[in-house]
Amino acid sequence: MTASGRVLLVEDDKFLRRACEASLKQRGFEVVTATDGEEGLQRAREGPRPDVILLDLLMPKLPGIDVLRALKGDPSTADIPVVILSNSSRDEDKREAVTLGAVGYYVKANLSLKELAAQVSHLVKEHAPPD
Amino acid sequence: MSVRQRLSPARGNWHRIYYLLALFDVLTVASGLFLTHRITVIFQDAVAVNQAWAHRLDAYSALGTLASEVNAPGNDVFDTAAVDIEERRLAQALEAFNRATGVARREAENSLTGAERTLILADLDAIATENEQMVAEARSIFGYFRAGQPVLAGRRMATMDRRYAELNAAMARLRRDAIASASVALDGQEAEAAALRAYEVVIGVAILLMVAAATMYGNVISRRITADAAEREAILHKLRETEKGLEQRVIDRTEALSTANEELARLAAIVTASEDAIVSVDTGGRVLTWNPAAERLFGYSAEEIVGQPKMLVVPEDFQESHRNLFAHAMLGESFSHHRTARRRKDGVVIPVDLTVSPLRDQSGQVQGALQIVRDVSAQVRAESMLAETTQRLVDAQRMAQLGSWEFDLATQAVRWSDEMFRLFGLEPGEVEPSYEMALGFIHPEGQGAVESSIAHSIETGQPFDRDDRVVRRDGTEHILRATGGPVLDTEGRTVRIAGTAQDVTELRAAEAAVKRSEERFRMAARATNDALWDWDVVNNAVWWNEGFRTLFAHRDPTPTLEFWMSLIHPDDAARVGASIHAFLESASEVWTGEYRFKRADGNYAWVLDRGFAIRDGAGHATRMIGSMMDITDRKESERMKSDFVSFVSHQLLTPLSGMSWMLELAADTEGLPEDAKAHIADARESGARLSTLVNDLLDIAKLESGRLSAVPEALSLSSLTQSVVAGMQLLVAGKALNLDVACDPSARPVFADSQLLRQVVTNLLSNAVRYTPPGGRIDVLLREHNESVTWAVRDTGVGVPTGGQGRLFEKFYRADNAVSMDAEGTGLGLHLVRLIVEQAGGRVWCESEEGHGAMFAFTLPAMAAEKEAV
Repeated sequence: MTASGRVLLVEDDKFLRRACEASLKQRGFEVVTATDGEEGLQRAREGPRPDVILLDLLMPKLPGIDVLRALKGDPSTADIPVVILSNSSRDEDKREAVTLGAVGYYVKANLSLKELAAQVSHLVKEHAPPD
Repeated sequence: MSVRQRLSPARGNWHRIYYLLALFDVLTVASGLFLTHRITVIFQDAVAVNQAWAHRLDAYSALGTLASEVNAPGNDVFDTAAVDIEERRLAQALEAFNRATGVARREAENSLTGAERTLILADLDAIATENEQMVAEARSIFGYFRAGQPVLAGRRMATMDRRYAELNAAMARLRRDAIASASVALDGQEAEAAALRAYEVVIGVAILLMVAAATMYGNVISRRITADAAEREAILHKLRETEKGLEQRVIDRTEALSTANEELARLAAIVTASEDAIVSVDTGGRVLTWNPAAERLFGYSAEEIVGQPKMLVVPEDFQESHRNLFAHAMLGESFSHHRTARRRKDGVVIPVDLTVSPLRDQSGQVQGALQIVRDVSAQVRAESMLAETTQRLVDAQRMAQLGSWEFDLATQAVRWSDEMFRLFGLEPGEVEPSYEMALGFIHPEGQGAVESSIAHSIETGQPFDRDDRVVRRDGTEHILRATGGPVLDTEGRTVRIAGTAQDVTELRAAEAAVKRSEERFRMAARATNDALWDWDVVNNAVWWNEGFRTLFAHRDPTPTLEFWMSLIHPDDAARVGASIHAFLESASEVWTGEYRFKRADGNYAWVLDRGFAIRDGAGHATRMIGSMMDITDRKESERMKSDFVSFVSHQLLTPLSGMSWMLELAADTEGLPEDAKAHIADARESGARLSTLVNDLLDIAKLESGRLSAVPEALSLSSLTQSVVAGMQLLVAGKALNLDVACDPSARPVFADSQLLRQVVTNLLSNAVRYTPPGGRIDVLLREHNESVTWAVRDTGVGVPTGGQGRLFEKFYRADNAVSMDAEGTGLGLHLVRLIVEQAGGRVWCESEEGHGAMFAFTLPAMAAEKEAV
């Protein structure tokens, strides 16, 4: 386990996935990636437990919102903080995600990688188990 | 003929017979009575004579006894020799004897007459003489005895006896004479009676005659009585009838009296209940009676006024004329409906109608006056109004060009009012009107119809009402409406035709225009595919056109707002309701809304509803008229377009974000040459613009498709403006602009989606900053006026060319000067502003002159206080 924490990044677009992964790794985070909803859910449940999950909404196989619902419905993953990264700025999408338990909602086009890293760092610290 | 006369029919001469009979009867009876009386008297006299004589004879007989008493002592002395005793006996007897003879003598002297008297008195004298001689002998005897010479006494005794015998003989003569006298007297009576008896025969005959006559007369009388009885019966019958008549008259009279009493009571009730004041006054003008209506009219109670002068209620100006009137009434004159004035107790003078009549007693003497006073204030007002109305009518007729006309059937005379002349283009009175002349003004094609109408009206008595083309003297053609009808005399015959005429040329033209307009509306309403509605806001009644039924298949729509609301999609109902509510409370004239509306089959149609409000003086909407357009097809294409845009946008945004992030990573790479760093920075800026463009396109797509669900809330535009301005301070400072915000703190909030409204304010402010040269000035204003909140930004920038102002809010439009000044604009910002403002029930506009800055403003309905509280 790195000092910065482990991040599960669920994103179908390879360029976005690469940029995000690079940015977070540069800042010391361990990054696990998934390319669709099903894989993301599987990694969250089976792999090493992530400290933060970054989740895209519009994805093949299983939409992000269903992944979120599944994560929050599973006691083993319910307490992992989830941040939504979406192309949609619709309030209803935002409201739905927050209602289901997402701790953050970002429109990708309006978000810089620097801001994202700062948010992830904050969440990792906030949710770190007390030593 | 009187009853008495009828009871005394002619009797002929029978009554004389009756009187003769009666007279005869009376004479006979009188004679009989007299005869009886006479006989009775004779009998009574006879009895009396007989009795007198009997008494005398008794007395005379008694004398004998007395004489024996006198004789006795002279004899008895011989036996007794008691001379003294016998002498005393003699004296006593002699006294008795003398007393008796004295009585007899006086009786004879008093009672007897004539020869009888003389005879009897002579007899009595003789007795006395004889007695004295006897007594003298007795006394001689007694003397002898005393002398003791009894023998001589004895001798004297014989003498004395002789004397006594002679006395007895004298007494016997007396009795004999008495009896003879009595007999003579009775004989006389008998002879008289016998003489009278001769009359009895006469009387008897007379009685027989009388009975015969009476019997005859009786028969006659009997017949007469029978006749009289019948007559009497008839008369009695008549009498009874008369009596009945009298009774009837009495009953009638009683009834009349009763009726009269009732009349009196009724009269009293009428006086009491009368609406008119009824007052009686005496000759001195003092009030005698004062009915309740008078109390109401004048305000004086009867108690207060009775006995007071009537002048009390007569105003000063009218007292002289009232005195005059009253004086005439006292002379027996009556006055009806004299218009004058009276003063009430409260001092108010009112016009009254006065009727005065003299009050007379039974002898016809005027004892006062009866006054009936009626308050005619209302009548006076009505008359005044009538006069005004009449004048107004005349004026109105003049203004309305209403003429009146009359056609006398008998004389064929035609009479026109002044206006009637004018209606034919003539000067009033310039010609003598006639039937032919009037007909001559009618258009030739219509003359026959006019004549038929008049003939029909005369024949049937029905009125007519017709429009005719008339050609005036100046040749102009007008339409004249003539109404008229027959005027009947008392026997129901038509004597005149009379009526009015009016120039209705303009009216008919206007009516035709209205009719065409209505037809056009009907045809348009029928032709359009839209549902038209007309909402009476005050009475909440909604009218739907046929299109509503066609469009939504509701065959029988309920004409209420609730019905309409109930058919709006539940997801849209609150928004539409709030929107129309806000519109009603605003001063706006036009409302639009898009929503889903339920068809009869249960499916929803998308409709574009546009309404126009009619407001009263206070600004309250009283009526709204509008149309519902079925835009389901358009919405479907919009949805498809929106889906397409969403898809495309997503596909664009994802690589854009990838580019952006990659460039961010590249920029952060250490050791890059400066040129590379500059290129990366440009690429990032380009990416950012592309990102903004795509986001605006997405917003517009959402707004246009209605898929952007606004969440309206009470918003302070002032606070929102301050917040946006704060975020732009760096930009403003960078261009050295002078930005001033002036918000009226009392402006009410608006009801809108905060995120969208923030975008509006941001877009308008950023435009001002972008198109104002450095050092320029920007003013932001906010105020409330007429139930609306107005927000405006004024700058000293480049302004908008006149030709571009109308298209400024169109999608993708950019003014020429803006394009030349800043190539980066997308032409979407103002379009978004318009979409958002209009969706919130507001309006946005621009005022500008190229080169002299611009003013962009929008208004939104101010929130009602109660909603603000909610």
